[in-house]
Amino acid sequence: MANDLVNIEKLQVSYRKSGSLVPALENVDLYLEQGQTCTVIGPSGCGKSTLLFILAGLFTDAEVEVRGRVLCPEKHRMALILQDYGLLPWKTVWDNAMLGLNIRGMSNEAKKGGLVKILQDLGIWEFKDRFPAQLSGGQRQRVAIARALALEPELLLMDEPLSSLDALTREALQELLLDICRKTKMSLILVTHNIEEAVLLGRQVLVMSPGPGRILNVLENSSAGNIGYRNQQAYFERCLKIRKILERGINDAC
Amino acid sequence: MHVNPSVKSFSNYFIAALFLILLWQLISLCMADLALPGPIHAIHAFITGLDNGISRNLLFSAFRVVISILLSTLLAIPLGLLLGRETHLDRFLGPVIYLIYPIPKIVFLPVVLSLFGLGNWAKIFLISLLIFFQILVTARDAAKSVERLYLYSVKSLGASRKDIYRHVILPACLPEIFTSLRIGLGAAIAVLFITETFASSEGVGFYLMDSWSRMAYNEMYAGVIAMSLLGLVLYIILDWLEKKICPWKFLY
Repeated sequence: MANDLVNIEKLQVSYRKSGSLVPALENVDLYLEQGQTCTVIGPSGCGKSTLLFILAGLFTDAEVEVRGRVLCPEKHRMALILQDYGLLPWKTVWDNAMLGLNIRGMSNEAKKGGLVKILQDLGIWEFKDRFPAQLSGGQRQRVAIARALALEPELLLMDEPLSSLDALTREALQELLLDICRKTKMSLILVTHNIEEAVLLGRQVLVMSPGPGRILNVLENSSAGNIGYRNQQAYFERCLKIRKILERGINDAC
Repeated sequence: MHVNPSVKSFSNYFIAALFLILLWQLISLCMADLALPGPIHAIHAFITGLDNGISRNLLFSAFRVVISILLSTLLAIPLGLLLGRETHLDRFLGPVIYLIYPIPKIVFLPVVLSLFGLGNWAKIFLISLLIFFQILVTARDAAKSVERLYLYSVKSLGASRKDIYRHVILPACLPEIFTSLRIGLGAAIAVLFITETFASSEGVGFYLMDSWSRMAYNEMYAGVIAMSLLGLVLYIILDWLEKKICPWKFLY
């Protein structure tokens, strides 16, 4: 399809560990159109982070063996936010947020001005001279988001970005993410182990099971994308459905 | 009452110094031996000696040890970081370092004196050798244990190998390198002292041993004070540098 931003077919990934291959993903398909959001949910060890790292091109050939078709945007059109935010403790908020632009050689005045605006919009401009250790979890996550947004990516990849935050901060950041995706028309693939988060954020929800990682179900969830969805009947039904699929998947795997 | 922390730490050092001087006075009074003069005599000899040889000798010693530190760290840091990250390089050079590192470098003194002669370079070479291996091993081990998360983080931003060294590996290892340098400093000054006592005609080590051979005990202790001050000042400079270069380590 012409609109496909991501097109993965029959993806098979194995880790190379001391000479032998340990399967991590089997027969994974994933399609994502431009401007769409997709969440990937599953228990630990189901390979959801591996899937994200494959998309981000982080593995070397020495680390993994990859089979199947992986079509995704070029590296410079994507941005990745890691579970523990991936901020460098030795750089200030500003330097951390500038890092992507610096590395990609795009640190001109216009981009800097854009970043100032992003930091202001995210409410962390006043912390620009602080180090990550001086910030709360939610503030650190905002810095990571600012760093990604500064790169104006077409596709944002997030690996359990909100898992270590308290409930209120998490909800505020979920709203923020929805808002950003709506405004920038950016596509999003978000990995999570939180059912509510998966249903709230992904117009497509991939449910995975471990041993080795494969996709149990792909749920269309077209009402996702606004914060009001959280209080609707359809939302609860979807959550329940995913819970059942996950439970069945875990029972089968055991 | 709010007291500026640097003033407070200065006054702490002052009190500590006073305590040590008093202790020294007490021991010298008890022993009543010419070989252990009181601190007043030693400090007097140090101050009068400043015009009379100590400053010149102190400059020689400082020059030797500072040049050695600069030379050895500038070589050891990049090489250590490379060894820590590039496994094929470490596989080849690792065993070599493993064999050389535990050798007390001072045993090379006769060899170095034979090869480099009695001038500055033999001393600088020997001190550099000591610090070089110390920093090399620290930098290599620190670079090996850099958290993967940081590497993935900058790789996902499109970092080249050079970017990874600049933005992640080097800053992640700097605090450990500073600690190692601080520990190495004591050994470096000890080696400096020994090299300066051999067929030397300048340096605090020479001044000290020369005073000793003339039984000029006050001057001998002036030499001890000079050597201690050299160590102290270098230590303070290292502390200051670390605070400048690694501010994220001193947030609280």
